Amino acid sequence: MEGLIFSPTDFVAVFNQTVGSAYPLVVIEGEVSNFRIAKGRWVYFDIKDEYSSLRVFGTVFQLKHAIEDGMLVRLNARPELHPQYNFSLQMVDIVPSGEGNIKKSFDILFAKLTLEGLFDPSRKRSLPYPPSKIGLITSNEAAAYGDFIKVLTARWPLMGIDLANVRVQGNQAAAEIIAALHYFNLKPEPVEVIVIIRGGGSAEDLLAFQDEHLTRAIAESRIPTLVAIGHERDESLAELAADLRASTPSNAAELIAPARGEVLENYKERLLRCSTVISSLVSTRYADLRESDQSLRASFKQLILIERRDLRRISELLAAFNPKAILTRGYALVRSGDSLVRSAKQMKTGDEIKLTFHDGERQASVIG
Amino acid sequence: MATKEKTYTELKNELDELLDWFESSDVDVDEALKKYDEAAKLITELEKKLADAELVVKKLAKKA
Repeated sequence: MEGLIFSPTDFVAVFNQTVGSAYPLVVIEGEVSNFRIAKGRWVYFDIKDEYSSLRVFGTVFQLKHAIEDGMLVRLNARPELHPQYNFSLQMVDIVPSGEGNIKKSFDILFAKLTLEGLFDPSRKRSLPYPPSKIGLITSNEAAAYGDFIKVLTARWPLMGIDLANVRVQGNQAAAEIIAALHYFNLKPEPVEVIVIIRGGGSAEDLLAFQDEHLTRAIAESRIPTLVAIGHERDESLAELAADLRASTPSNAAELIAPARGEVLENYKERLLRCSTVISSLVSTRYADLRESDQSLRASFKQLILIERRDLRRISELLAAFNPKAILTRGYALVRSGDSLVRSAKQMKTGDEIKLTFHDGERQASVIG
Repeated sequence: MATKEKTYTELKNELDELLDWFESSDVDVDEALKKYDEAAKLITELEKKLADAELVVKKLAKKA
C-alpha cells in the first residue's frame, strides 16, 4: 500500500475538512423516504433517487413545510461524516420541489392549521378604515411595491407608510418577513395595519408564503394584517392566516385606502342630508313659533275683551253714581255763594241763590 | 322734565279708588261731580290704551 495512512479519526477529520471547504453547503433534490420524527424533536429521513440514497438528520424547528415520504424535495444541508454514525447530511433547510409537491405540502399544512383554528373566520379582525399609518413588508425593488404605492397615493395620499424592506423570494424570505412582523409588533409607535405584498410568480417563487412559521407569525400578530400575494387562483397559507386578503397588491391598496373622490362625494351627500334635516328642523320651529304667536295674540285679544267688559261694567256703575243723572228727573241743586243749600232754613227772603239743572244754571232770589 | 306716562294698571287702580269713594256712605255732591268727571276721563284713557295695544298686536301680526 502506498500514500498516506490515516487513523479512522484522522480520516473523519480530513474528510470533513476537505468536503466542508469544497461544499460547505449543498443543495440536493431528491425523493424523501423513511421520514420520521423522534421524540418530537429530531428529524430523520433518506433522500434518494433511482440509484443512490443519503441519510439526512435535522431538527423539527427546521421544518417549515409539510414533508412526507415520496415527496420530491430540495434539501439545503451540510455534508458530514460522523465518527460513529457514518455519513449524513445535516439539514439546514428543506422545501418541497415542483408544483405538485408544493400543493401536497400546502394541503397537509392547511389541514393541520385549520384543525388548530388558525384560519377561523372568528379570528379575523376588522381593519381600521382608512388607517393613518401602515407597516408595509415587501421588497422595494419589486413591481408589486410600485403598484401598491401608486394606487395608494393616488387614492389616499395622507396615509403614513413605514416600509420594512425584505426579500420576498428564496430561503431567507420567510425569516426576514417574520423579523419585520416582530419589528412592527414591538415598535413603540405602532402602525395600525401591517400589509405584506408580493407580485405573482411560480409555486416555487411563492414558497416563502407557504412557510408554517410565517403563517403562525401572521396569525399571532397583535396588529391586524392584510396580505396580498399576486396570484388570483391559489391561496397561500400566509394569506389565509391574515385578517384580510387582497387578490393583488393594487387591490390591497384599494381595500385600505378610500378613493379621494368617493370620500368627497360621501361628505357632500352627508352635508346634503344635514341641510335637509336642518331645514326640516327650522320649518318645525317656525310652525311652533307661528302657533305660539297665534296663541299669544288670541290670549291678548281675550285679555283686551275682558278689560273692555270690565270698563263697560264700571261705566254703567259710574252712571248710577252720576249726580247729574238725578237732575234729569227734575231735581235741582241750590247753592248760596259757593255752599250747597241743603235746608230751607239756610235761606232767608232776598237771598241770591244759584240753581243747577241737568242742562244748565240759573240765578234766582228767595222771595218768601 | 316730562312726566312719566301712567300705565294701564296705575290708571285702573285710580279708577277703582274713585269707585270705592262713590260706594262709601259719605258722599258730597260737589266732590261727586268732580270725581265723576275724573272717573269718566280715566275710562276714556283706559279705552284708548286698550285700542292702542290692539293696534300694536295687529301690526305685529301683519309683520309675522
